[in-house]
Amino acid sequence: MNHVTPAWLAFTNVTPAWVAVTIVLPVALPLVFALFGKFFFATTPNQKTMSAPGRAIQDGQLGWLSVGWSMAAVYEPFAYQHDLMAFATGSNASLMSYALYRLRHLDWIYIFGSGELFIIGAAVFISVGGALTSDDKRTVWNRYAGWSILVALVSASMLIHVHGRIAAG
Amino acid sequence: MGIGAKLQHAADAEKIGKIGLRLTRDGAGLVAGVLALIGMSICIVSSFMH
Repeated sequence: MNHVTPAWLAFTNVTPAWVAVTIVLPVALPLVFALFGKFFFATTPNQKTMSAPGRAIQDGQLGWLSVGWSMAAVYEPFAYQHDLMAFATGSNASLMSYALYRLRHLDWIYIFGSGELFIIGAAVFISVGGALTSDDKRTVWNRYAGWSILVALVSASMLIHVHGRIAAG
Repeated sequence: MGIGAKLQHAADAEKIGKIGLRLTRDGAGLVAGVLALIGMSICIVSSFMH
């Protein structure tokens, strides 16, 4: 890969394991547990009939997904650097110096990471705010649904962008 | 405290509780919105930096 290759085309490091652990499980597991709770622990008529995923989205719970994906997007460039320098040096002796050398060429990571911290903050406010003010009424889509979906989509697109970009080098 | 006053007190408390819930919900949403807009701007711009 070289710098001419568009980053968004360079998904050479998208392995089935990465997709499973980073995308499928974080989406599927909470959904499974939400449905589990709906079918086995719901006590009121509203809890029994309303959509579990819809309720989670309206209460801002996609924010947790956003936190996870944001952390992954911050972590991945550094993890990639570690893999790269271990490969290049063949030992752990000069890992730190080589890491610092490489990171100087990736200044955008720090600015990007600070932006992700803001998104994580927003996601936590949405998630916690939604959880604290959740009630047993029917689904009301104008609570946190919009922000919930937005931060999750932004985090996901940023993670995909970064994942592709570090593959491009 | 008579029964009327107790009922009034309960109604007031419920009203205050609802306002508090609404303020908490909207406040958290407002803070989240501001943080999200700042974060999105920084991320989108920086992710295209070289």
